[in-house]
Amino acid sequence: MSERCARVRDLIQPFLDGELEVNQTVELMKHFQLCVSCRERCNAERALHAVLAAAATASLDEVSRARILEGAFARVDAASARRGWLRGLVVAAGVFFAATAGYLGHADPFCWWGCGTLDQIESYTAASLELVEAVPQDPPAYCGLTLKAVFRSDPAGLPPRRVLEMACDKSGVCVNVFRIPQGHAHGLARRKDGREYFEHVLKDGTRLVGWQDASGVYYCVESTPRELEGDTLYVLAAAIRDGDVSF
Amino acid sequence: MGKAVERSEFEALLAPHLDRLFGFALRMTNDRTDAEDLLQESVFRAYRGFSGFRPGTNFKAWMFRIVTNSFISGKRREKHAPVLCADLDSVRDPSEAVARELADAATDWLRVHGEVVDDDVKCALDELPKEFRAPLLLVNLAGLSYKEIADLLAIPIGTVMSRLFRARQRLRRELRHYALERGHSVNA
Repeated sequence: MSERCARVRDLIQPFLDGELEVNQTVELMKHFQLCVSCRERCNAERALHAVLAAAATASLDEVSRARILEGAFARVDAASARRGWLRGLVVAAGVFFAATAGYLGHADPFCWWGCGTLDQIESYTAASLELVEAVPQDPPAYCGLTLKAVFRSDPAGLPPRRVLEMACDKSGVCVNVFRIPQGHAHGLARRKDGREYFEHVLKDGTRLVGWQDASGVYYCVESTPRELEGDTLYVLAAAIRDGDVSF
Repeated sequence: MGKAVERSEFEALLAPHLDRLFGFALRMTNDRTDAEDLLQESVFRAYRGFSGFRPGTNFKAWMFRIVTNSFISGKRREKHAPVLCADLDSVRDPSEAVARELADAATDWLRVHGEVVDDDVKCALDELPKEFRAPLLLVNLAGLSYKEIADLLAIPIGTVMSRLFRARQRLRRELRHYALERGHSVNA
């Protein structure tokens, strides 16, 4: 086998996978016109591609197809119903935070508490924020699933980037860790064990309890267990700017 | 970013790709029930997250990414290591000598091709380690690029290419074996 043939054969699989540059494709085609052996090699590889694609496709019968689709849509409907309920909580929490911010005289405390699945969390974010990435962390930093969600905020208002870590476990306890500037506080504070605690009770009786450590990381533990489905996270969202809440 | 979609519109987009998506799920889970569950989970995520799909881009590739991510998430929930990202490239393959011999005799495959049946290919695919099977299926079924596969599986592009190469070598070897069992003569 010539050196040229060896070089061409290295290109055959990327060629069939659609990965070659135009000039490489042209080189390949020219060589195939002259070299039967390499042309047959390419045909052999192409045949393998076709056989793989055909064998790996599996027909779904109509019953299974309907079951899969109906099941998926039913879950979406159920999740939407929960989301509608939770939006009410968002407003309640947002109003609370806004009132607190105004009371304490701090302009831009920023906290996140929203609702969604791993892929859909941006649907619940505040209008002024754009989700940059939401990446599952493995191994999880907490007892269940941990996400690192990076948000880019409206440059006109909030600080440029916030990295939030959100975690939940299957028992329904949700832990949210988020960074806020030092000195910002949320809600009514009380001191216990040397820490200043934030506490708020939502309309449905959910009790939010949290504290802020020396580096500014704010830990909020939702104390009411809730059913979690798959990768669904429970987070509430509010962006506060100049005392106003936006969603 | 896209917008929410009507159910009928979403179903129309999805319908042409369901068999391939199911085939991928089946080849990854090796169990029909698990494959149906994986596909349902993926359809749920896709419909709910449709605003994340950019209109005019490759919907099939987008769906395959969701199925792959759902598969990986499922493995994590079972507290298994994310098998698709394991580094097996340093593991010695005892049949490498055979693979090398066959690498230069790939035209055997062309003669064998007519004798190979679907079940042989499925068995050969199922015998591939998942680390090799996933990139192969994502290239052949989903038409993802090497870069897209690398990003999806969190492995370097070079690793994608090397796993594809080894997966195809192994597949050719297995299928040649099946053909021989059927009595088809394969001469170099």
